[in-house]
Amino acid sequence: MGPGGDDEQELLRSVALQNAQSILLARRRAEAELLKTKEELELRSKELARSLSMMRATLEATTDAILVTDAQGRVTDYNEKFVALWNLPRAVIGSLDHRRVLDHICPFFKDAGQCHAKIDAIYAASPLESFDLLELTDGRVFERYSRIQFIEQQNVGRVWSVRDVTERRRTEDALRDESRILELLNQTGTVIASQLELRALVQAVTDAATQLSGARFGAFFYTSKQANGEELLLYTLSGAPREAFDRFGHPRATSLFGPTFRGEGPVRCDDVTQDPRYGTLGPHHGMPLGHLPVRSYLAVSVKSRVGEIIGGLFFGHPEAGVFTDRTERIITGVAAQAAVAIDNARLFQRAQDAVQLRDDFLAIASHELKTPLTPLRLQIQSLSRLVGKGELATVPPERLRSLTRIADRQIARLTSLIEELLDVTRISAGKLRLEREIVDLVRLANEAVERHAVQLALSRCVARVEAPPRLEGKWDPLRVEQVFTNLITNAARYAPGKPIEISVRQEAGEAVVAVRDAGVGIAEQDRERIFQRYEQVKSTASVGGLGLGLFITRQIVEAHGGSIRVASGPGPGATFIVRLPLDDQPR
Amino acid sequence: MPIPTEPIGSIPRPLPLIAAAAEHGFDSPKLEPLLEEAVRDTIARFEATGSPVITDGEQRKFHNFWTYCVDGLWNTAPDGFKIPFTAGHVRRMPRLKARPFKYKVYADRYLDEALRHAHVPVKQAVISPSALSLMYPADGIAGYSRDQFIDDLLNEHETEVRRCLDKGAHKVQIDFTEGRLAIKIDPTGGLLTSFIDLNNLALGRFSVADRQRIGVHTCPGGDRDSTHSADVDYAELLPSLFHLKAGNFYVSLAGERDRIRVLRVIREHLKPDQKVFVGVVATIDPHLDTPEEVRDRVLEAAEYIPLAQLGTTDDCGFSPFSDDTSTSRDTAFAKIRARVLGTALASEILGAS
Repeated sequence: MGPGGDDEQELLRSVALQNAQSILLARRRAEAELLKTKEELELRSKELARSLSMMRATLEATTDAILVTDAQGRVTDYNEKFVALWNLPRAVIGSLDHRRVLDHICPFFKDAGQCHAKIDAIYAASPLESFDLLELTDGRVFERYSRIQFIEQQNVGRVWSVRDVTERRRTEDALRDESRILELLNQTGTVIASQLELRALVQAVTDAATQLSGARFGAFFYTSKQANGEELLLYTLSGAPREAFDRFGHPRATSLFGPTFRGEGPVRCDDVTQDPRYGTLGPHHGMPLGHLPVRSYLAVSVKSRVGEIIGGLFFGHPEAGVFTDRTERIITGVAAQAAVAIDNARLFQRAQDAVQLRDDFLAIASHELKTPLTPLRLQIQSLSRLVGKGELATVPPERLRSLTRIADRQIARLTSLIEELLDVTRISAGKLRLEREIVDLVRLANEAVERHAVQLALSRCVARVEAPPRLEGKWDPLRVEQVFTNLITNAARYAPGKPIEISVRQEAGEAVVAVRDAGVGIAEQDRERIFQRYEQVKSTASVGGLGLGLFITRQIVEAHGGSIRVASGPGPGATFIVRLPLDDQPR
Repeated sequence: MPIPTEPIGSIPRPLPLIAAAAEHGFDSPKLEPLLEEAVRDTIARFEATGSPVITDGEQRKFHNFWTYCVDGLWNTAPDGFKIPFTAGHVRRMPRLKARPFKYKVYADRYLDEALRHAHVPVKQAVISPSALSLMYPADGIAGYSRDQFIDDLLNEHETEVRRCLDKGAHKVQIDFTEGRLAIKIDPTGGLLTSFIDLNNLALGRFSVADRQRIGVHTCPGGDRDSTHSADVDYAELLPSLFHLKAGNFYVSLAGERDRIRVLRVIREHLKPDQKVFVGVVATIDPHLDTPEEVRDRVLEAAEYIPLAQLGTTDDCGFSPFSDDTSTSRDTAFAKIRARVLGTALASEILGAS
């Protein structure tokens, strides 16, 4: 050290050492601050670690698969669900390269080719959020959502979450389908319930059922009883033109169609062409040429409440496996609804027919009742004029007898008509009572012929009775006499000028009465109908009468436990055959 | 990668500038054209040496590397402590008279100007807080405690370093030439420890990354070809020196009597994250070092210091005091060129080029 003086040096040392004291205090302050900062940092570190643990736990607890990337497509975080969802090898996710991860994932997608392009577009446009649905080749559907990740308002990357929504989608689809089905069922029910015209009804049923089943086309084959009693197999179509079926004829009771027409359970085939029941009978082995292509097949019987087979609903689809158990249940339900509706429609139709028949009958009855009254009134007016002029004594007795005879005949006619009406009323009310006693049927037959001798004469008919001397049974003599009356007058009315042959014989425990005329006969389809109430009126009003005679006759015979039918032989005319049990024992 | 080499800082001012300053005063506006020319010329000649990192030669630092930031402050007096040099002359520090302690100028102002001219990285030297701490008087300042002064000092130093870093200084070098002086004043080492503490309080305010761009320079203090503390054993200073929280150390070595002993001490105390730039040209020695001499000094240092942690520098600034004319600008640049070439030769030999 050069010159400078010891005092100067001592002063410098003093200052330096005083400074050292202040520096020490400053150091302690700094250390205290450092310590405090360190403690705060440790606390924050702990909080951060806890927060990170919570975030990791949250990330792992979520049901979504999550991937986090930065703006350059570098993976910054992910959860194990993401790895598991795509079965990602550790080396792939470990590369932290989103593109490489996508290379592994994309083959799972149906549109694998668009996989990278979609992600690139999102990276390029950097929308706040993105949402897309991923359809996988195995049928699963994933929902992918991404959102920009902001830290202190800076875009630091994007969070991608993937959720398997397959079940939800299926449920939604099922619910939608269920709603559609319910809506259709509701509509179907409304349409069916509001439709009483049979043909329109079955068309509505066919259309609704085809739509509900998801079939490409459907048909409803059903039987319909015609006015003449004949049953016809008719059909309606939906989803296919009528020409598509016209040339193939109706389905027959083959092993495939038979169960449906027999009212057995539903028939459902995923692929009818592979079904052994299919196409074993000629002439159409398998699918006839030009037939609509059918692989999925479903058929359901339509049965009435009383078990009558109304028809069958048939559905087809060119693809296999279209109809499910659920389809079958729905269509079975529709078939049941349809059956009720068709029953109702038929009842309605019958009720309408009955009302029409009654109205027709009332018109005829009025006419028939009025007819005897006219000559009766004329005869009474004629007598009244003679009495008024005081000329009654001058009238030849023969003339008077004629007048009273005519009047008497008209009264008898009126009485007969009224009796018939009363009988029908009694029968309808179930009040037809029999007063059985031992009766000789041969005597009753002969007496009936004698009693109607005048009417037979007027009809130029000769009635001949062929019978054993006696044939006794326990019957109501008045009612049996009424049977003979009806059958003989019926023969005289329908076969005027022709002989009437009446035979009475015993067969085992029955008495058999046959009344044969030689008239025009009765067509086969009318042989049952003529025993219906009012039926005569409907067919041949020209012969007169209320058309109740044969109806009353059958009721009397059946009340005795017997039967009546009409037969037609090889020749002209008709034969009414009555069988009456000899006693009143029930059979 | 070649062995890095950096200057310490000061280059002798041009003589016309020194003369004008003597005539008009350092703060005269008349000096401005000369100062501008001095800076431009210094940088041009610095770059011409091939030095990969340069300085502005501290052409605008008045009066010296120690007091440039407080020179001319209203609240200072020129009657501070005297720093005696072996050549017999004395340099006097300013004394703080009143609060507050604020720098008059921050070194980044010099950096701004240098960067406008430079084509290579520029480093900036600043004075250490420990050196400036001696400005506070022994009898204190009314209403301004020593503690408050220390706080203000640290804040001002931090501000200066941060401004230089922010403006792109290649390195910010803290001149800590008072290290040896502290031992000289207080042989117990207590003062040196407090200086280290004070400087570490400042360095502790920077990040680890920042500290890799901060270095500390120590030397015996060079002025008029003499030192203020070359007689203090380096072995007493260096162990404490490497406790400073800096990434780089610029240690004068070429002028040391026993370089091997110094290198051994450095090897023993250098930490893995620290680099040491050893002085390979003796700035106060009028002898012109040759590149070969420099090369040999580098090879010698490389035997003790891992190559990855080794750099070269000048022993000290060539003219820490602005009015020093003991070394010419030509000599300074010739020595710098020798440092650059010699370091390159050594790099080649060591396979580090």
